[in-house]
Amino acid sequence: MRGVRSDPTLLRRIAGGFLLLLALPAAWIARGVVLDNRLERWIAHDAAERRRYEEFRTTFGSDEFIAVVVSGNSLFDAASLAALTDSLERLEQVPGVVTVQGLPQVYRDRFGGEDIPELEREMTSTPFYEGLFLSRDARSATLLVGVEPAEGAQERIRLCTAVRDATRPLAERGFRVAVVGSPVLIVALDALSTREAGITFPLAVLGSMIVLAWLLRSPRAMLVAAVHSGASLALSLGLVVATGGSLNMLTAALPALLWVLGLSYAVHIISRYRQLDPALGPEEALRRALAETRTGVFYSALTTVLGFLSLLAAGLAPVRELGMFGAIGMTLSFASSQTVVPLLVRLLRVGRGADRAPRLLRAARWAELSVRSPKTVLAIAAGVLAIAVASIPRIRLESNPLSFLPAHDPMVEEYRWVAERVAGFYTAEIVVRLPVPWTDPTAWPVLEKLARALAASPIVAKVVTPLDLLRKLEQWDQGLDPVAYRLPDSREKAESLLGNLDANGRAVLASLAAPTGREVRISAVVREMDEGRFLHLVREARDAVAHLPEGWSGSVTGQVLSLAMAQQNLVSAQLRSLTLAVVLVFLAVFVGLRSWRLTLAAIPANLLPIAVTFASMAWLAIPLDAATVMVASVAVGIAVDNSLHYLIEVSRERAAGSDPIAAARGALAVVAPTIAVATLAAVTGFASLVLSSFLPIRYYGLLSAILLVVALASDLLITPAILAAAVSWKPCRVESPR
Amino acid sequence: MTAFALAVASLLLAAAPLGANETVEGAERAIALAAHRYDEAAALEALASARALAGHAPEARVRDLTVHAGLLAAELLRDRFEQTPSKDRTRDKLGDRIDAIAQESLGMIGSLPESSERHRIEADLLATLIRSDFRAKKYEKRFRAAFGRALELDPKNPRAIVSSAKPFLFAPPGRGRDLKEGIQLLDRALELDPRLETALLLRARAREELGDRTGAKQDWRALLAMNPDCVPARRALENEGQERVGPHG
Repeated sequence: MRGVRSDPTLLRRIAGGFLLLLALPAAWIARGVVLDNRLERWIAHDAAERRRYEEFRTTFGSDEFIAVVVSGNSLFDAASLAALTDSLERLEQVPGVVTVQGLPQVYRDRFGGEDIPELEREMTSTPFYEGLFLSRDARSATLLVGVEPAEGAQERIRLCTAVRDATRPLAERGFRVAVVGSPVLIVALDALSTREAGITFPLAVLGSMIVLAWLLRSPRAMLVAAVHSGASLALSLGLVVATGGSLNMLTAALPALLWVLGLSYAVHIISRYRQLDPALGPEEALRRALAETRTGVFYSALTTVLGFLSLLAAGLAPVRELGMFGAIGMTLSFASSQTVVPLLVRLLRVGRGADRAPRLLRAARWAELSVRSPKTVLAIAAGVLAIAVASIPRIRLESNPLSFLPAHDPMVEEYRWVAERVAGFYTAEIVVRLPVPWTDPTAWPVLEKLARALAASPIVAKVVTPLDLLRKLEQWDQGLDPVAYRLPDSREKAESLLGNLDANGRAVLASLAAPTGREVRISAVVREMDEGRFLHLVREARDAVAHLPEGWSGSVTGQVLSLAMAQQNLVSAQLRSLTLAVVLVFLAVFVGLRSWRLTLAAIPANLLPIAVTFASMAWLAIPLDAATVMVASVAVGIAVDNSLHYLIEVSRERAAGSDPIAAARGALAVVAPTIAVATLAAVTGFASLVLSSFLPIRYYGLLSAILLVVALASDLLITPAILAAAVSWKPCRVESPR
Repeated sequence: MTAFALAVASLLLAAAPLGANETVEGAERAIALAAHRYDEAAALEALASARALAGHAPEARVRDLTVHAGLLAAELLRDRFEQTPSKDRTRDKLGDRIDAIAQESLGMIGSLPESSERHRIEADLLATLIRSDFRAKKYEKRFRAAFGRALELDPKNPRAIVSSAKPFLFAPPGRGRDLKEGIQLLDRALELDPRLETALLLRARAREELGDRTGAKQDWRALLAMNPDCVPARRALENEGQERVGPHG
């Protein structure tokens, strides 16, 4: 043991072998990784909105539903109604389905499966069913399937599959059937993100390996980098699965991210080794390469880990998971770079390669420009920064979950088709607390006014209030005369009508009014997925609630609102924590460089990529949402990597006696090829994600690629220019590290 | 809904008109026999015979026969309707047939002499039409008015009392269903006419629903003793025996 302890190379090799061995079962375990995009996970538990929503559900039940919309056939004929009733009864048998309401349910339960002409008259003679169960032209119908929130992804898939299966009689009858609603959309997003994660990750691997092949021109070097990255990834994902974790829409991009970042560490070590090998021989070159790159790789990993760790401050579990798994992954990647990479370099006998590197990268020509004309470079950079910063306010803050899917995805088509016809996809729920029982006629004008205000919105398909039920009961009590579809003339009459409700009717009543009678629910069924337009409706609703008479109060809630608010809060929180991330990262940079001047020199080159990335979102109309806001926090840790490598080399040059200009130029000559290779491989990896059909992954890849390209340009131009400019103002400003 | 059929059957057995010409008598006998045996096909044949009498017998007599035969046929068809699964496409046609027969009889009932029985029959014809919430709402007022008028004209008309018990027995839970109240009315009808098959049958059913199997069994036995051809009573007692012995004897 003493021999092992005293021989760090041997210790490192043993550790590398151990990690490689551990990676095998980890890879096996990692196969079981699943996506979990349950809606509840995206709502912060301590948020006031969450509490409001839970109270709402306790009082009125779940507001989650699936809408089955049919069209393309006559609705009011015996065969169509038989098919609809068949589907209704199948739907009622589906586990997780609480209620099914719609035309066939009225036909079966109220009309006993008879009197079709009377049914048509009943359904079309009053506004009661219009916009909810039946389109205005009575050619499309909706079955509203109330569901309990699914326990997990698999249960939700089973529920949606069973619901689709239950609609088979409708398709057989020749109806066009669309199935929409939150659970269905989540299943589609899950399926697409899982499929895309499966496709885009190999693409990222392939893209980055092609670039490495072009730049390194050494299959063995490529193999070392690939095995190291693959092992880090397998260990990270294996840990995720082993600890009961799962991936989600955000962390689905994590494998690609860990892969490209892992490659970067390996590239730095391998490139330096190949530069040193001709002069020092393999053993010494490997030892020196590790020693010279360790600080850069360590602080690169540290800053990236800090970028990820800043996400732990988020209120949402999926975001915290991204932070935690990302930090663990980068730590493992660093450990692998220091153990697995040297082991494999030696085992595979990676050959000399300095002279094989493309001329383009070897000649740090960009440095000439930045060192020769630093003020010009800095002026241009300042201009770009100003334009970028000016563009940031134009970023859209709202997203549309439907747009996560490709424009011609069947689900998108179904949503569009449904929106044009009958029902909405989800609800905005307004809970109104009254000073008198809601059955009191003095309360009705207030409730009516509120309902009218909501119905005025173009995105509202229908507003449902308990007063609608009262009107319908009055009409039925008056011999079904459509003229009698009106509110009863007294509270006594209203309560008598409600008192005669059967079990189904009482269930409907319970979903609209609290047993106390002093709290009612007004549901605005929304047919628009754009978050901005939905939040506008919410603002209008809140405004209307704020203007309720004295003694009245109310609140706006609902599942989708909870999600939207969670996302908005998340974006605000992440923007605030970005500041924290920047401070933490540059603190780490300071510790790494041990020079506040060099740290200051690193800041502009790293703020510009972040600003340009945000500006790109404005220019490319990419919304700042839960997915895209993550790029900045993580990217600040990634972007600084190249600066660290460069500035550490500058310090080393200065320590070796070079003057500042020569140090800036010399450091570029040493690290520019390496950081260019590492960055281009990473950019190619991220850019491959642009091929994804799943928008969050596509945006993530695109924005990360933009950020890395700008960061590379900044590191090769701005940082040397700052150093050169500092020298031109006051010679020898750059300090050597202690 | 066998109860509806029994109500009319017992009525017809008790009140089959006598002394008309042979053809009328034949129709009357056919109606009585169909009612006694709970025979749907025979009831439809009797209805056809009654209709065929038009022009061959006094108009009022023909109407009276047609109304009685129509009620019997409608109630027996209604019984089959209740036993037909909702997915069965023949159910709709059965409903149409009941409607057609009941409406035909209701169309004639106005020309029958004013009496408690006329209004009782009208109520029972309407009851055959009430097969859903929608129809309950549609016919409820007229139905209540009919049996109300029947009781007004003769408060001791046991068949009218049975009709008045029907809303308590057949309304959905929470919508006026009150089996105990219904049984009390049936008890009263049976006090007035202890051999009223309809009342016994409905009470047996209500007692079964309330879990009073002993009481129900007594009623079924009493029914079978009165009318050995009472199919519902025989079936009920057979089922009772099978349940007691078990599926494997």
